[in-house]
Amino acid sequence: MSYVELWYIIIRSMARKMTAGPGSDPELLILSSLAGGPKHGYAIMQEIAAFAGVELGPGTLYTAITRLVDEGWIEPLEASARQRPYQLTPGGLDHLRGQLEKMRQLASFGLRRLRTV
Amino acid sequence: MTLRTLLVWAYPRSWREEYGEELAGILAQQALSVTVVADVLAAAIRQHVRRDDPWKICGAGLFLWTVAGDLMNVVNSNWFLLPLPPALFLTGAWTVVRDRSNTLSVARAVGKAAILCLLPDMAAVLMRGASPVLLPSGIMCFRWGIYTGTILRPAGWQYPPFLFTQVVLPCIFTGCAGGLFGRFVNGFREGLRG
Repeated sequence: MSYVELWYIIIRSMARKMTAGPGSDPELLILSSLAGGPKHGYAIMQEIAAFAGVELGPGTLYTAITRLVDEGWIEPLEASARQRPYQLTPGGLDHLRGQLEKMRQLASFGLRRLRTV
Repeated sequence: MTLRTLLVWAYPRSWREEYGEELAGILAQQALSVTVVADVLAAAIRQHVRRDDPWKICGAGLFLWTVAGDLMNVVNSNWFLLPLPPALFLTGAWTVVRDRSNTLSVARAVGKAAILCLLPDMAAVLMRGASPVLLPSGIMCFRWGIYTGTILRPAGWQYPPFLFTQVVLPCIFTGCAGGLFGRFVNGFREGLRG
């Protein structure tokens, strides 16, 4: 692997939010995963890979978790061994509901338009 | 020290204290591919930009720039000096935008960034020593380092005023100009919020 390829990977992973669609937004995926109950980082990664087919890297995962905690949308629980589970806060639940509702409206609008094509 | 430990250490200390143990736990359960390493490093850079003081980020960039300049023997060329004023301006502006600092704090932050920028060159000077040069005008100077293009700096009592007027004051003025710009940006943002 050349330096150019390495820099490409670094820049791509830094620009993930700009290029990815709403279905692969790490924050939304994490909130969706936590809607099923508290989980620690590794369990969140595995569940997201299973239900969305998106492989979140550990760096991306914890960048998103940090932001979600700062926003007050998730909160850490008591640590078990090295891993600390996270759970949705009421604010996080409202935010997730709002985002999913927007996605649903966008999807139904787009699908309606597609039927006329 | 393993690669996994190094990756966790790439993050700012405040972040490590909060999430470092968990990240180490996840990394211990994963194979370290190039993609994973790049992902963790990119996230570490992002956390530094979010959490560190602006002078540390700008100063680290300037430090690396000077190291490269020293290694390539171009520290006295105009294009090498070109990014320094904008970087110091940015340091001042960013310090005010982020922390709403006063002028004294801006000057302090810019001074620290400038010191980081000068450190590699100072180290090179210390390692190589200085050789006296008598200018045609009769003024005794020292040529620092081994570089063909290094700046001639006055000797003896003339050196502190030279350092103050040619390096310290311009750096602080540039940074404070950045700070004024930062205040303008803050005012503009507050105006937008209404």
